[in-house]
Amino acid sequence: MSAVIRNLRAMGTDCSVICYAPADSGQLLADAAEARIELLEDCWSRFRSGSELNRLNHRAGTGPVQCSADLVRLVQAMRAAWEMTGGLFDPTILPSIKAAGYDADFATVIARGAIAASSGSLVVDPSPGMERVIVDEVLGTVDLPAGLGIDPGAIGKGLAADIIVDELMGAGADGVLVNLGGDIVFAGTPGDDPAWILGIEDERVAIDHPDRVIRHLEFEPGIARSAVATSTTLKRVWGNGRHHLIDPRTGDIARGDLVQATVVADMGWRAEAAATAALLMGAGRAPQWLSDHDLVSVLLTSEQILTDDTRIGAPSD
Amino acid sequence: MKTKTNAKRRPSRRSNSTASKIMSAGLATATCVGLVGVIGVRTAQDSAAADSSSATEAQASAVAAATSTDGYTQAELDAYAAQLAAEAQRLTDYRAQLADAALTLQVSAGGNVSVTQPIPSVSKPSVSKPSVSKPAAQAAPKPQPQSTTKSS
Repeated sequence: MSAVIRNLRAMGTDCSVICYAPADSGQLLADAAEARIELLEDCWSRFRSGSELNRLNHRAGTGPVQCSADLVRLVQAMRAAWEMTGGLFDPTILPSIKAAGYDADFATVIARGAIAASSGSLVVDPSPGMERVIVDEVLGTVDLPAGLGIDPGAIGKGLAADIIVDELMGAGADGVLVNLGGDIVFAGTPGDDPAWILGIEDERVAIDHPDRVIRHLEFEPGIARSAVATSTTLKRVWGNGRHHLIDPRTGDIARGDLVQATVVADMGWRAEAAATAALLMGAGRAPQWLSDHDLVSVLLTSEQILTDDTRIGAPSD
Repeated sequence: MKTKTNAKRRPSRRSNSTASKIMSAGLATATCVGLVGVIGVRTAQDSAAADSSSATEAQASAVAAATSTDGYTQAELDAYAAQLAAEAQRLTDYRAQLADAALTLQVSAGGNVSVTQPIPSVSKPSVSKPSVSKPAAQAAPKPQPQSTTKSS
């Protein structure tokens, strides 16, 4: 059994695909995975002017809009994530995040220095939420109310990884891992290795620091699908302490005490939504909420590591 | 069989009496007035119809140029539909690519492998519990080169 590993740049981030399959089919499956990433980015990206998502946003207020199955699935996941997190994961923060200066691919935003010009206080409002967004799965339509725009944020990457893993496994791969900028989804068996092992890095320390990896997560081979997602306020940072995480309750940049949240779930979009919600809840509320939702997590404040050791066993040295 | 001719003459409609002539002149005048009236009415109707027609055409072109019920022109809606169709075709091509890979895998495996493409559900969470450990000096065997932290 051979592993085909592809590293690529997509969705504004570093991505990789690892495919375990016999003979040459691993290469073909990896090719298909790359093609699928490109298709999904074309459909969902808010940084591609012609993307189907942008077309949908431009037609807000015009009634139900015919959409592709991929876009309908994304909006369904957005809505489910919004409901699961009690509105803390909110795709309707789009105007706020644009007002904060994150209105283009992040590399572009940094390169042009536009953020420096928007370092004053934001004029923002609480986000409207997904309540009035109507998805008709049967007709394949999405109806956005006038003035509302949606941004999938990182659950787009999580859901993309879910889709690719499921489709490659459906095609017959023995094992697949897809990592889209830290949203990792995997299934099956990792070749001859005894387990899927993932490292959680600590964004508070330098990338070459010996303590950079703070935990290893081990998953038994042969699992149907599992996902690990990390959200942090320590990356995608610009200007005067700004970052990409918007609090929908205020419409302003989030200012919680957690700086990093890693969540394990059955699906990438769910793990990502929960990680985002945990950051917004803060250290006082997030551990209990994650536990209530049967989600394993590793949370970081600026000073300590919080993890649900009672459920996942004490870390071993 | 021969065709018989009608031997009876039809009575002449003409009358030579003066009264009849006056009456005829009056009727003719009335008829002319009537015709003029009819022609006048028809001209007016034609004119109105022409106005109405041009108004309808103007209205129709306004619809074509501006809006359907959702504020888009037919051309824009057609372009949108074409875009969706093109994207659907790309997805079809991808599915074919995936099917080729599956077929290659099937052949190399020497068995009958059915190809399915499950759609991820958006409900019913169920989590595989991982074991979590601090990285030891002697790290776990063959860790995957993956980090869960974001890259920008």
